[in-house]
Order: sequence, then C-alpha cells, then structure tokens
Amino acid sequence: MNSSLISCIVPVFNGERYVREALESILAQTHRPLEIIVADDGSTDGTGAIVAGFGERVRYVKQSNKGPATARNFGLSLATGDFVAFLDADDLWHPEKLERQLARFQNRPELDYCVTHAQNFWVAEMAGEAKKYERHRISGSLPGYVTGTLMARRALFETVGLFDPALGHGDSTDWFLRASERGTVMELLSDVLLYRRLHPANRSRVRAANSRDEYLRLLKLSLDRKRHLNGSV
Amino acid sequence: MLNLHRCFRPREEEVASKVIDGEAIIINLANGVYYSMDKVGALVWERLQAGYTLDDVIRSVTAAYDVSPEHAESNVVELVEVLLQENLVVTSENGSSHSAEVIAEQEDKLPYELPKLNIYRDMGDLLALDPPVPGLADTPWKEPEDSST
Repeated sequence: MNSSLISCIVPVFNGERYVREALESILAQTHRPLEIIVADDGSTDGTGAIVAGFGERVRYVKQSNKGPATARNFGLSLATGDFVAFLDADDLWHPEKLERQLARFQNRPELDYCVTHAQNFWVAEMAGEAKKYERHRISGSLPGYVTGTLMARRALFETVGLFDPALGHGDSTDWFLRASERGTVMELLSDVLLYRRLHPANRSRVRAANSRDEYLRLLKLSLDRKRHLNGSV
Repeated sequence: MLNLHRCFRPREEEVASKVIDGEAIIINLANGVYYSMDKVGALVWERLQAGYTLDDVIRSVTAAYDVSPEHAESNVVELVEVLLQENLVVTSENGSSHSAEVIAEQEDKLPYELPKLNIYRDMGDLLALDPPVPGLADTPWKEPEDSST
C-alpha cells in the first residue's frame, strides 16, 4: 500500500447545495492519507458552515471572489502532499479514483500526471434534458481533460505553472496545453473515475457560448509557444 | 475540379475559427482537431468566411500577393479541396460576386508563399468533455443525431 499523501483541492463558490456530497466522495476514497483543502472563492451562501461541519478532516480557506483558477492556485499554495488532485464542489469521485491513479504512478515512475474518463449526470430537475441526450455521446464515458480527473505530482506545477486566473472558462485547457508543450508524460485511464453533475447553474454551461474565442486564442498562444521552443520563429 | 463560381463557407455548426495576428486558427469542435493557416491561407479563409466565390477568393490573392492568376488558382483550389476533405467548409449555392472596388490591386504586392493548412490531431480528446460548441444558448452541445454515436 502506497502511503503517499495526496492533497485534494476543492474550489467552491456558493456551493451549499452539492459541496457536502463532493467532500463525502473524497472521504470515501480507499486511499489514505489525504489532505483536503476547500478553497472558497468568496461564497455568500451556507458553504462555509457546511464545510465547517466536517471538522478537522477538512481545511477551509476563503478568498474574495476571484474565480476558480485563483481558488485552485490558492489551494495549491497550501498543499503539502506529494500528489495533488482537484474536485469541483458539484462533482463526485469514484471511491477508488485516487488509489487507481496512484497505482499508475507506482508502475510508471516517469509519469507526470494522470487523467481519467468522466461521466456526466443530470440533476433531477433536468430529467428532460437527460432524456433528450440519453443516447448522445455526452451521456457516455468521455476522456476528461478537466481538473476533476487530474492527479499530478505537486512538483509538476513548478514546471508547467499554475492555472491562469485571466482565463474565464479555458484555464484548465490552457494548463493541459502548456503541460503538453513541456513534453510531460501523461496517462489517460479509460476507467470512469469522475462523475460530473450537470445542473442549471453549471459554470461550463453558462460560459460555453462565450468560450469559443477564448479556446481559439489559447490554441494560437500554444502554437506560438511551440514554434518559439522549436526555434522556428 | 471545383466550380469557381461557388462559395465554400465554414461549417459554422461545428467549426469555430478566428484570424489572430494574421493566422487563421480553426477548430473542428466535433473531434477537437485544430488547424492553422497563415499569410495566403489566412486571407483565403477570411474571404471564404465573408462569402466570396472561389473566383473572387483567387482574385483577392492575386491582388495582394505577387503571383500569377494560374498559379494562385491551382493553389487555392487545392487548398479548398483539403478544407472540404477535412470537413471544415461546405459548398454553398449562393455566391455573391465582389466587384473590383472590393478586391483592389495592391501596388506593393507581398511575396507569395504556398498556402498550407497545418493540421494538429494531437489534442483530439482535449475538448471532448467540454466542447465549446457555437450558437447554442441552452446547452453546450449540439442536438443529438438520429443515430447514436
């Protein structure tokens, strides 16, 4: 049994409805030891009280509202584990998520980070939409290049850098692009280890329509950096 | 051979693009493959987006770059064939002709370079879970198709 400490960082903004379930899915992990850090991005609802109910098992820190990238970075700055993982406050992990990912790091010492497949699920009041998309690819298992599936060596953030707070929706995409440019060694597990809740207030849903230009700019910046590294510019 | 009087418009349901600092960046949101074209290629993409007929796209190229009409035609047609193969553009019936004042000959023409579509298939899965699909107000995904895929 690997006894590496894993820091679990949960950025949250007004997440009183689902944060308890998210934290329970972390506490239900088969791996120990864990360090759980909730980075509250300026919630004005009951999030703080719910997290306080977990007592000493969860470390709670709060910042003024600056966005999820800054909250993740805040959590990272406090993390002391050899490895770090992230869970958004409305999503859930499979109980063996960390154990199965850690096993990959044990088998492959060269591995820098590991992501997994993810499965979307709809909240009850959106049953209509769930039905509408039940045979669509978004209802199946999908490769999850999102922070909720990510487990990385903490030291990797010194190489790749932190999440960019200037980006609205694409901060994790930008991080994965930068990691790729650096030639990091990654593995995508086909196991579904993240369950992603779709609900009316989903940040990604709200942002999706506005995110196209941001993705295009990220790709342009990534291409520029790669060409610069290759010395072709 | 493509019909030079036709338009070939970007397939906007699933293709997002933007010309940034003279380089066209294009993503096929259905599969995450992305593309880039600079200089002549970026001009061609902008003109296709604006609804120019293929003929007028070629005239735009010869107006701006130091290249013979025959050479430009063969290169642009070849490029648009690749764009069709990659499913980035569709043939559009209605071409709008752009007159001489729109496509003004430049006095100092730019040195010509063969337009090329650079294709990047390395990050195909990157956007699988969170596709930024254009034009959908209520959900970030396109409507399900009849057959499940």
